[in-house]
Amino acid sequence: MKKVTYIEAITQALYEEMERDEKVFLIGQDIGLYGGVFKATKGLMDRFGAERVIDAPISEVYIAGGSVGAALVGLKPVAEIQFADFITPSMDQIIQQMAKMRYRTGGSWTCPMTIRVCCGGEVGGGLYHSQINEQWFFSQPGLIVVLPSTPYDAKGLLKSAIRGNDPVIYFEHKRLYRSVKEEIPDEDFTVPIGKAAIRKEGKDITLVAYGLMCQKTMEAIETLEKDGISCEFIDMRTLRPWDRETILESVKKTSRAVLVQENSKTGGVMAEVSATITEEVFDYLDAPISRVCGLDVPMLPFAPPMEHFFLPNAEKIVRVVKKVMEY
Amino acid sequence: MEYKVIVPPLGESVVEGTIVKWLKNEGDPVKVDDPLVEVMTDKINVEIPSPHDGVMKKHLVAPETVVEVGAEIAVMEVEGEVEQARTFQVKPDDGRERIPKEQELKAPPEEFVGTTEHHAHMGIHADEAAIEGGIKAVKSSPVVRRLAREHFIDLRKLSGTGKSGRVSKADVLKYIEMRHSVDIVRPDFVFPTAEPEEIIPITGIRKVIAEHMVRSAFTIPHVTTFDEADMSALVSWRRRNVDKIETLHGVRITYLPFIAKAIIFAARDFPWMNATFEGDNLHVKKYFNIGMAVARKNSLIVPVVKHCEQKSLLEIAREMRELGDKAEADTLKIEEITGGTISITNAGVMGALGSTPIIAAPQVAILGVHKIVEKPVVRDGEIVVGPILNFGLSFDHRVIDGGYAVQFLRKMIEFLEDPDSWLLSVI
Amino acid sequence: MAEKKQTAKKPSLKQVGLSEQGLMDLYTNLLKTRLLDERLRKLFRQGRYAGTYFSAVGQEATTVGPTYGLRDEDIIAPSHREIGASVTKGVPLDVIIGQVYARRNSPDKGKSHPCHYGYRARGVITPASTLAGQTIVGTGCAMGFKILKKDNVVVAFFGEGSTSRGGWHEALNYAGIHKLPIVYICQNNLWAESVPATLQAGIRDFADRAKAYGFPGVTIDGNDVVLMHRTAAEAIERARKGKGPTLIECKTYRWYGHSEIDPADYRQAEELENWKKKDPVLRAEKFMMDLGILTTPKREALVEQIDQEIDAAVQVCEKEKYVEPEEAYNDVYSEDFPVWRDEY
Repeated sequence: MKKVTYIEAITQALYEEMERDEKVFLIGQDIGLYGGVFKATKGLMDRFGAERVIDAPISEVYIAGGSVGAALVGLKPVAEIQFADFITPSMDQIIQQMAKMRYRTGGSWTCPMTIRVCCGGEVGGGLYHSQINEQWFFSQPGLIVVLPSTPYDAKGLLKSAIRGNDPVIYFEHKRLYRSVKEEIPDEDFTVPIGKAAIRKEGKDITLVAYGLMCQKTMEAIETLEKDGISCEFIDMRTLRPWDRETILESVKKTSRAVLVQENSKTGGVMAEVSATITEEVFDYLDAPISRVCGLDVPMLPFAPPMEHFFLPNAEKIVRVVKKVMEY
Repeated sequence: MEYKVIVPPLGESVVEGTIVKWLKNEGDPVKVDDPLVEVMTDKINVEIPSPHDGVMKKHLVAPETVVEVGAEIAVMEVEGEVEQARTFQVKPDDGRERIPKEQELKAPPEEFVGTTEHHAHMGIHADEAAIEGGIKAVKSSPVVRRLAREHFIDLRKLSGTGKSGRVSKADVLKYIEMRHSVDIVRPDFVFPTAEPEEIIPITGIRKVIAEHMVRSAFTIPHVTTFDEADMSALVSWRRRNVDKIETLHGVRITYLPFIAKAIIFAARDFPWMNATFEGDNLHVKKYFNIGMAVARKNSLIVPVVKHCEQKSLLEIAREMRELGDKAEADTLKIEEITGGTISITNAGVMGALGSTPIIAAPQVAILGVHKIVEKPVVRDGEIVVGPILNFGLSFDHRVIDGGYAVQFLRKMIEFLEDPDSWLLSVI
Repeated sequence: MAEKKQTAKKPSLKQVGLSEQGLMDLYTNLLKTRLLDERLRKLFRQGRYAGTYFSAVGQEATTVGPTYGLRDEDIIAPSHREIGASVTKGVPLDVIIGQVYARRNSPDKGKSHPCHYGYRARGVITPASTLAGQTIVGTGCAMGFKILKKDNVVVAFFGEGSTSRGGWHEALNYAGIHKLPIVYICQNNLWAESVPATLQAGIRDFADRAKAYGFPGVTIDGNDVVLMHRTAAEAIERARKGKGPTLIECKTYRWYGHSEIDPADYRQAEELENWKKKDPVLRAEKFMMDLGILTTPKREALVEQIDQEIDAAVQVCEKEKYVEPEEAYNDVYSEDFPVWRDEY
């Protein structure tokens, strides 16, 4: 067992998967000579050469579409989109090719592949280096979408993504890169896609989050438990296909839910989770489901007071949970 | 045969066209691929070619008529059998068999939790009108409404602690718990005040049993709950003492007397299990006449050990043996097989590991006892082999709630698993 | 490399670079493509299948020529008018017609659209409708072949209109950087649906675009199947040897509308008449008759044989059923992730 950061866990996963399977290759901007703008791919070009760690031109359309093509002929591409903010040109290839390849060819052509997307705020990145656009991919059948919140999950989910048979959008949160550390096993392990993690059991209320918001929620829970509110906390980990069973069972038990999401509220992941809870376990609810989300404004205004104002945090979560408990 | 010429699909958004002119008159011979008619749409003018050789028999629409895609516009006579043209419209109903919605709705509710008449009689449960009235009158959440209906609660009787007096889930759960404590009345073990009310000629025993079984099985909504007891303590106690007791008292003691005692102890907290359900009334008994089913040659009979709460283990064991012998010899008297308040049936002697016994009406519960088998059990964090007895408790779901029966059985098992706490009081 | 704006000269078999049998095969594929295409148009008018049809009549040589001679594992990255590539790559006729009919025997199980011909066993990628899509994905396939150190090639087909898309440029730029084994065939049929090529780009010859990416580009007569084959074969050979991509622009013309419901009234009648005079099938026939390889009776026998083949394949598809509606749930993901099914 060694203590590693979230980003070290990602590097380890890439390294080990490239060692394990020579069909795995990386393509992205600044990932080779430079080792990635956040150093996620540091040392990989030295070890595996420029043929398998490709410094791409500034061509997000090609990085996505070319990876689809490479997957069609049997390779296991792991592409990197340097900032989620820059993924928009790739959308055509991700939605029309990557997500629909298996479907439109009746299963005869498939493109198991991974796109790593560096995302998220609270890093002072401003309007074009802080975005998280998981909801676009969340609503697209054919894609798998994951967003780990711990080093263990970061490594285990990335390995599952690379070894799997389906196209995966793997979001990694840059605020978590170096701010979380944990001991992870030395031996090989994976984390199953599609399974949420119950981080804490409780009986009064269910809290659901993913990514950076897991940290914020855990912080809020410390305060809430001191005030005698027993919280159950679920980290979604996989957004598509999301783990309905775990969340619905928890809400059946607690009868209350607060859902936390970094992104703007409208049309977000938690809107779907909330709607499903209402559809499936309405008879178990004791209070309206509430969401704590980013503001419904472009993500993410730069000046520090506005950035702070935009994002959900422990205080906001505590306030909303208390309101729901008092209902 | 006749072949019907239709307006083919003319493009993704096109739903209709206009007949411009007929290119084959009625009676004209037609060769395959010959243009039959010119149709105009807002996108394109098309000549529709014939798919077959034949004769144009009849135009069904005149030029300048607007026709929908898929409409029949002419009839041709063609040689032999050909397939009619298709229009490719996806019908809202594909015609396959489905379960009608009404039928699905008619399915019985998942759980039957007792009659409101009975609950009303007990004086603590609300009737339907009161329940629905409460739901309408009080601001309540979905889960509160669900609990109110399940547990026969008039929400107006509760004081809500939620925002502006709203009744919360926690309020309801607290109320149910409090009500249970009202339900629980400790029996104070007195002799019965009346003898059995019914006298049946002794010759009729078999007939009575048969009728009894049928009536029980088909009038009582049976539910059986299962639970396991770790018998380690009792097994080792019995192993140490069984021979000694036999030498001293002339009785080879089995586990059934212990189980009878455990029932009595558990019924202190769950008195409704030891009762009879007659008419609209539940007669909660304050004495324990325990029926112990005995298999005979071709039938099963349930002699009753009266007032088990008054008797020692040895006395119960001795009486069981005597009743068993009488059953074997067919010399049981009527009073020896009637007046039971709860029953035990031991399918374990035959080797059974599980069964769903039939209640002896008007009793409301029967406990199935099975073979003790060696199974892995966890003790102090270690997996070890232990003697396990599986119980199946059938109960009358009209008057006993599932949770009530489950808790009763658990309580009884707790006594069995820890005999040291009570053995001395009943030897 | 062939020089720019080359036209076919008076033939000798040696110049063609094909055996007599090879030439006959090339012609047979061309003729089969034409007859199949005209049949599918007719079947649409007769209401035999849903959707619409995109005819490639008039520009068959641009797909048949480059595809002829490819290996099974070589990849075809088509758009929607490349029926000739599927025919020539050896995709069975009932599979091609099955795609149009959207029946159970269709490779896509009826999910995509008629004319989205694809067939894994012959390396044909089922296309998406988003133009230049397969050019980008196809370039990725070539990148894959290079990483895997295989000597396979990719032939990507697209119209002149697709070259206006950003992703197209990103793909060719990448192929140029890494000298990928791919040949780009730009079928310039002068019209992108209803927009003329002059409103598509400020250059006359779309092959000029290759200059910017550091590999050769040539413009040739796309209605000369022999020239199409010879030029492409040379580019394919170059690609196989690791010398990088080539962009071949072929001038051609589609005779009918963008689809069967497009009257193509944005074009002048004279333009169509002039191009019909350059019919690639008639030109190939004349060329072969001049060489003494083809005679009129031989041609008629061939037409009859192909018609019978098409009849048989149409019969297969007419008899085939549609898939069950629940097929819609399949192929979204691998078996690892079954799709959630709501009951209504």
